[in-house]
Amino acid sequence: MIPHGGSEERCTLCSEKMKDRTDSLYCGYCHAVFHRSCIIEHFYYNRFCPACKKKLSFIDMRYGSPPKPRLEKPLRDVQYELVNPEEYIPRRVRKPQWPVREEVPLFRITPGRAAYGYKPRRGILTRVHGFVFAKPEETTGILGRFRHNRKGMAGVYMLLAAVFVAILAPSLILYDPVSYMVEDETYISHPPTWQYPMGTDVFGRDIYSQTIWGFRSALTIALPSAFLIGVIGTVVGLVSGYYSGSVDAVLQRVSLTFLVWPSVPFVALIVFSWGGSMANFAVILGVAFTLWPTSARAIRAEVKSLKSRLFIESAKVSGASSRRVIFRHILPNVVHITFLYITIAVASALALEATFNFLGLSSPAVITWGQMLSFTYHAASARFGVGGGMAWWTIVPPALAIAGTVLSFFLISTGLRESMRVSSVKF
Amino acid sequence: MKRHRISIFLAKKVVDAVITIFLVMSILFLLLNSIPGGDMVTRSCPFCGAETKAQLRELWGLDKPLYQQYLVYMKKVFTLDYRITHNQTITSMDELLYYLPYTLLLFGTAAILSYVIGVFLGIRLLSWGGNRLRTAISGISIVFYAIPAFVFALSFKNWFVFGYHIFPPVNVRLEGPAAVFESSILSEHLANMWALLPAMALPLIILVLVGLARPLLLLKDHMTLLLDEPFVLTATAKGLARTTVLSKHVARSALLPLMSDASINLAYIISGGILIEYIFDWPGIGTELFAALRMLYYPTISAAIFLLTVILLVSMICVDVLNAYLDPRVSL
Repeated sequence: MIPHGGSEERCTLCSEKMKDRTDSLYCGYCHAVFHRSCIIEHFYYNRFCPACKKKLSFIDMRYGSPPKPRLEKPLRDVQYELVNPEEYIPRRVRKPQWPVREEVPLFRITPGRAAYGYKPRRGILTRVHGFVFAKPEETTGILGRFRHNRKGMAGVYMLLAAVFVAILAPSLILYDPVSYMVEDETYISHPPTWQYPMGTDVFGRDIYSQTIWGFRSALTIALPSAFLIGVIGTVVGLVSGYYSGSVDAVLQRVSLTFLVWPSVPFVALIVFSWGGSMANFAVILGVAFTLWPTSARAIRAEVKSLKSRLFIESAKVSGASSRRVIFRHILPNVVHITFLYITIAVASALALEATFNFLGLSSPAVITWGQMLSFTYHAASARFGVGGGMAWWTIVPPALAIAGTVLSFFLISTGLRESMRVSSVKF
Repeated sequence: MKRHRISIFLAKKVVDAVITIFLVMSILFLLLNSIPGGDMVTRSCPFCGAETKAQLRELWGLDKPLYQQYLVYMKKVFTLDYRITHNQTITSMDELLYYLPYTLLLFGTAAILSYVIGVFLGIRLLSWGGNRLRTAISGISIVFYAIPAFVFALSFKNWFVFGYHIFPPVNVRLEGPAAVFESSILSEHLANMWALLPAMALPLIILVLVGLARPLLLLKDHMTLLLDEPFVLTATAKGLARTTVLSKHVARSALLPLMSDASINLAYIISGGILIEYIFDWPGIGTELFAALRMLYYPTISAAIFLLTVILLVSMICVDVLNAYLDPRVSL
């Protein structure tokens, strides 16, 4: 083995000093250092290391200077480390890891789907996953963790797309979704063509335009009803969780009542009784009435567990009224559950709205996805027998639109639920 | 001691159920009364003579003030008296009771199957399967949970019944209830059910698929929550395999919240299921209810809502008792 020259390393071939670090290569076996130009010239004619005569080629040479050797010191030399922390020399030569574990990289570069702390394989091209501002495990706050949740963010992007489509609907549609009908009879109930990208329905209306327009009605029904569900559920849950006893008993019975009411006939009867001019409002109200009990129950359970906590006790002792305790001290601690249940409620509200639009309970002048399905169902029933012979292009676009919108809210709720709890275990 | 407690628990639950039925029917009364277009008599026979109408109004107490109408209605609800005339032999309640076994057959099979399959499949797949399988399960069940059941019913019926003739349609015409009680009614029901079994396959598959999603999702959720608990660490430290820890220790404790959630899931199964009945033309309460809703035939609507509520409450009580029996933490 060739002795090391300390900090002043010299090329083994030409005995000149090294200019800089990039200029030097060393043999992985004998740690002899060479100039780049010298060793390239050597390997042009030979196939062995000039120092240790081992059979090698240029690609076996390593860049940089060889690792410093371990000093012959006794084990557990604490004195040495304490006295000279600047000159600490590691005992073992570790393989360099990249990126350095202690630093947060600008990009997350992973081979496949590995978790954050990984060991990259050399030479394999890895995937770049956008900017990483912090480790997802150490991110604080629900929203911070939600940002790193794949499901939740996928739901948010899907929802944003739906909202954009709903806003831009007037410029996206090709024909008037309600009043336009094809004049040529061959195009009635026609499969997709360039002229009608998703085909036409039994009346000869363009399905693409109807599907696009459906986003508007779906969101205008679902969002207000979800808001109502959040408000009713939170207030009832807070009150019935805080005041145990008779108030709680009464509210529990009421919520059980609304839970066991079959939802579709309930909404149908509400629409029948208050329908007509304010059919939309009746629909919103009906959906809200049927779906609030689940959120109220969840919030009640959470309030019950919060009630025995110390900060509530101290608030009571300091003379706060129960209204103040409920809305100032408990509400901020359960509001995340409200949001969770609102997102679930939007999904259920969309599904329910589609269901009773399918039953033909809303105005035929308003295009909704459930109504599109209803039209094709009843037209095919009249023509071919009950529920048969529907054309695929009349079912698939509205069904996919319902599925996508419901799924977006559902994914958001899943992401929220996953980011609400801090779990160290990945499952 | 425990048996004594169970009877008190049951009594409490039954009182609860009666109160709930009372509230449900009160809301129904409110809704039916606020429907515009005249009262029930005007709706059911618009061209009757004034005398007939007066008789009908007297029978249902519609000529009295509103609170008395309410009392008469409640009395009729709790005495199961849905006659629309004095001499009517087959009331709507009789008709619905005739269709009740078929509804129970469909929903009961669907609920039990979805829970049994959900629990066993969930434990198997979640603890023995790999990461990718787990993701696939949760993805598929989210999709099935999110899409409304009637969309599946519609398209499955369109393609599998009408398009490719894989499943038979419901082609059994039920005779309906007889005016006089016959002892052959049971054999008639059994024969009808046997004839309906092939047609039950598709609605059952859809109900099970839709009902399967919630147990699977919840099981995965609760298992994830439990993985942080110390008993998992203990089991792992004992040297048990990961699959054993998951299936024998984690999944079994994750089943208990699943049971308490079942009562809410049943409500969803039933309210989604009546529409599936309607779409598949299944001879059950749901189909009758929708037919009645279409022409606003009040007696059938009331009877159907009453029966559905009773079914749901009874099954909820069953689930609660089962839950109390299985879960030592639940005090009776």
